[in-house]
Amino acid sequence: LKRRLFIVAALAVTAFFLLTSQLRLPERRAVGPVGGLVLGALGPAQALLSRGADGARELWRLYSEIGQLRLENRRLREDVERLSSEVGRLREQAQATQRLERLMEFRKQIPGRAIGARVIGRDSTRWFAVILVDRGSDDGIRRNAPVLAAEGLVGRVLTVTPTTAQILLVTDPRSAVGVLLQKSRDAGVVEGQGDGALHLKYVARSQEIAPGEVLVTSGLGGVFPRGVPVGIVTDVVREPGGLYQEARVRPIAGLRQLEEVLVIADGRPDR
Amino acid sequence: MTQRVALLIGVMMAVAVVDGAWLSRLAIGGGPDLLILIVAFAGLRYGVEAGALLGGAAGYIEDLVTGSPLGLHALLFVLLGAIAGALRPVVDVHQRLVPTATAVVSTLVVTLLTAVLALALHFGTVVWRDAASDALLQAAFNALFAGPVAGLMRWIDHVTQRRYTGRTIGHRVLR
Repeated sequence: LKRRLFIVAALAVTAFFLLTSQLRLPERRAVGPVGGLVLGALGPAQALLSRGADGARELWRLYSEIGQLRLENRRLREDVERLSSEVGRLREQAQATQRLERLMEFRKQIPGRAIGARVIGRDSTRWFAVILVDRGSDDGIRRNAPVLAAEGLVGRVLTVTPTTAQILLVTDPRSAVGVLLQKSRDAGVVEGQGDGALHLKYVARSQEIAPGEVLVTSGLGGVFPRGVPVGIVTDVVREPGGLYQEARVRPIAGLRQLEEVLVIADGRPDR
Repeated sequence: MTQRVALLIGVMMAVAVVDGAWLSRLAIGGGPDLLILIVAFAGLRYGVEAGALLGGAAGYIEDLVTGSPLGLHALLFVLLGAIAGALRPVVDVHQRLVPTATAVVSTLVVTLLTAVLALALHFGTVVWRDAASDALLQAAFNALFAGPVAGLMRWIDHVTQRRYTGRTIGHRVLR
């Protein structure tokens, strides 16, 4: 026990002496040859490990930055999506405004009370050409009322419910409209063909029809007002020996892109 | 014996380097100090004399590497090793919780001794609350490393035990 105590005390006293000898005077801190040897051996290893730790820390920093960049990227993507959606909405709004302006302008030329309606549905089959609008008998729409777009004739009302109406487009095979050739004022009838085009019939063979000629409603028949553009002649067919000549006509209104239409509530021909 | 001491001193130097280069970066007030664990475990395993001698060596290495006043850690670790060695008869190092408890207690003891020395030798101002929080943090860090360091000490014992080289009768002779 005495030996142990002696060793511990000797070590403690030596350390204490070493400590107090240079505690207040750092300039007296001398590591000595053994200390120099130890430091010389450990210094490079510590530098190497330290560089490794610096590298790891740098990697961690880069990893954290990647995380932040990911977050920022996600946020920016969300912003882009939101702004793109907003731009799309505004563009849509602008186009709708332009269409409605054209429609309103056209409305001034049409006699009678015109009711604006939005297209809310289409016939999905290829055989018929019918659209559904969001106005009905509650709004004053009646069966067979003419329906127009800014460019010209669209069709007529086929069936009416209190809140909606089905519109038979001029291109439907069931549709027939009395027309006049705009230049020669010769009368004829255009019928729908079911393929998006119209077929002009019953035009006297003696009359010259040129492709590009515009057809307007004749007002005969009591359904459509007079003078509404219906279509443009694209091809003329003269059957040898026939009494009449026929023509293929392109509808003047973009019937496949219709979004808003005017329904003439109490329009009368020749008004 | 010489082999074990050499290995222990080598390990202490390596630990001092790792402490300085890596573990000091974890410091949030009080970082881990694995040399405290080495000294405490050495005292518990080898007794008062070996604990004090290894403590002196470990403290000297720490003083050299960290740049603290020469003799400070040497004195602290001599005392720590001696205290741990004195507890050797009553502490079973093979108990599961002993490494963790040793880490916590030895860290607190070293902090207390440092504060006492600071007060006695006037080399620093002691704010007990800060000292206590740093000591607890360091004790927690050291407790995390206690298991691996205890394993390292067991490994040193294992690789340095003397094997009987004469006629074998099926058992090893431990030194």
